[in-house]
Amino acid sequence: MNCDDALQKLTDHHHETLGPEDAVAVADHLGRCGECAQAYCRLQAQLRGIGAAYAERPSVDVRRALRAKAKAEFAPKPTRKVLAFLRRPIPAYGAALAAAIPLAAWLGARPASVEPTPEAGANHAPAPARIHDYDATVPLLDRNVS
Amino acid sequence: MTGPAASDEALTRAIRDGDMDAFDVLYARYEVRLFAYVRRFVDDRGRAEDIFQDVFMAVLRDRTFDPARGRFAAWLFTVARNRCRMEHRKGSRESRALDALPRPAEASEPAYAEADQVRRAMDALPDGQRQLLLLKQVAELTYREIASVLGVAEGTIKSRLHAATVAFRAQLAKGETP
Repeated sequence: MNCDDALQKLTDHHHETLGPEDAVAVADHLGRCGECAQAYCRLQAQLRGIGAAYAERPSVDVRRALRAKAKAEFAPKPTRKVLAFLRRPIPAYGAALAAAIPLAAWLGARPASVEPTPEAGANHAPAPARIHDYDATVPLLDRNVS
Repeated sequence: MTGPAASDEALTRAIRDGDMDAFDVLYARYEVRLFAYVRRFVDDRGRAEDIFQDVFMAVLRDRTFDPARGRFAAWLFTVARNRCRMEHRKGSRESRALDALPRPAEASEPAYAEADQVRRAMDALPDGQRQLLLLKQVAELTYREIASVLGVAEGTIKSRLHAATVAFRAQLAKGETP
């Protein structure tokens, strides 16, 4: 690409409206040609100058007034806050939580196990432990145990 | 998410849910861009500030806009453009002398050309070309957004922007010639 071609395409290059091949060719040329690079910088500065020439900010009061209006209109009222809380989507573990509630209620309502009182223990002595498959009348096979 | 990286649409939804932090972010994003645009149509600064507030609130208030589907910037500047045109029709803006042009409160970055030269060059352009350059360089809209505001195809915007840029530079060169 020569300088004439590059200069023709500088505007479109700046606005990024060139095709990919042309864009690469112009960028390549700008990297090698100082004069065209300077012309490109000049174009960019001129266009930036439009924004700079017109840059203007409203007064601080405008921001304050606008914020107050937006707050008055959109800030949630207490009733809306409650409604929003109630309308919140149930999380994924909501089903598990819902199942846990009756389980917890059942555990809470279940009567505690009855502990035997000392008097009751005296009247009703616990039966001796029974050992199955053991006969004391049968002599031990091995009497060498000291 | 309503931080500085949040999209305009997400911020709009958050504001509508009462999030004032989102308002601060969105306001800072459009404060200069929108006001500078409105100011091109309205000489009186106080009147321009009223219109700026009206446009901003109208956009936040209008529930017909669905932030999930539309582009906020295009919508904002469409409302602003219509509002300014109404104002223009009411006769609040007469063709003004160049000397009476409002001066910017501050220049955000160093510019190649003097602000007066730039304004003269812009004022010498046909209205359509001036609009296009304002929407691109002042409002910082994308081609798609500009196409939406002006109601023309994106390809048309690109070719018109090329012509507008060439015309602007020609006017600027005229102004620089002693």
